[in-house]
Amino acid sequence: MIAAALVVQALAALGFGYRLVAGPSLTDRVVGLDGLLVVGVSSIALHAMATGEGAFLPVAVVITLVGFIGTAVVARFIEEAGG
Amino acid sequence: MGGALALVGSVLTLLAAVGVVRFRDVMARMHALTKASTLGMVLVLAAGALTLHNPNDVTSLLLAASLQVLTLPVAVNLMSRATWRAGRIAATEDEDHPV
Amino acid sequence: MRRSAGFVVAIVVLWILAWGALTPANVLSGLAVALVLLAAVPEARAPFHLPPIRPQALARLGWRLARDLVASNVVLAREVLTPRPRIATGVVDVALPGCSDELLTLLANLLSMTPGTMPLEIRRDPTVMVVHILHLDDVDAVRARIRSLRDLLVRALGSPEAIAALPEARP
Repeated sequence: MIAAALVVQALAALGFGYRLVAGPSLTDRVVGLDGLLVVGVSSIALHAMATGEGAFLPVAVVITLVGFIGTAVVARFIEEAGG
Repeated sequence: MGGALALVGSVLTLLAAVGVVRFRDVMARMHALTKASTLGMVLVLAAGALTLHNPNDVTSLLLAASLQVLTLPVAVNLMSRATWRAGRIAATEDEDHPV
Repeated sequence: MRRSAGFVVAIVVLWILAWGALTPANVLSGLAVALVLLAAVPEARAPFHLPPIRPQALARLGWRLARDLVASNVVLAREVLTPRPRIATGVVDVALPGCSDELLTLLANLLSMTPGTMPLEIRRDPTVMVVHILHLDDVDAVRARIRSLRDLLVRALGSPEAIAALPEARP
């Protein structure tokens, strides 16, 4: 079941990646990137469930924090310079 | 049981991804992101917290889940507000410079 | 000093969660981090009032939130899966007089999770929240829904003066 969940996450990553590459505006690309971060955090958790090793879990916490800061910075930029 | 919960959460994230791909408008795509992918990810992390036994891992997952719930809607709101303001500024500029 | 006790406790709990183990070293280092933050950040010293526990109002709020969370995902699923997405989006201004900053923040965060609404901007003087709607059919219904959520929040978490100041919608 975890393998199926990982496949579903990969499909979701394809979708978000499409928006990252194709999205006409900068906002679209950031939306795609945020989605990829969500897939990344979920995949780390799924990997920990599959192998029983939680070595990568702190990475999930760091990704969350850094992703938030990055998105906030880009939002500032969009507000000033237009997306 | 944890596996089933993780699968449901992953399907929700996939739903969000399809929404982000298919919706016509950038604002609508952000709707899909805040609602579905936040819940989907929280479900996957909760499934992990249920399955793993090491308390170190469980606390890391709980921390990641609570941080995500706190930051993801706020981040998307910052983006939507910035896009909205940038769009308004672009609209008024078009009025000043008709083509 | 006592007013910041809640802040110190929250920081120590987060610190312990991050390190993953409840050891004396973690608790002591957490306390040190909390004290450094208190000294460095003036806003952290603001007293934090814990609202009185009102189980009935909290339960009503929790039930509304749970229903909204499920409904928003169901609505989204339907929109995503229909072959021709027929979305008529719109932007609605909602006047919310007499709301504190914390209430507006909490309301905006919750509106990100409720079906079809996404807060865009908050203006003061007069207090207006600009919300983006995914399915715009009835503007007044949207405003009524947002105001009812605001009422639920105030009844569950607000001070007694705030509850008394609520406009009574039911005759």
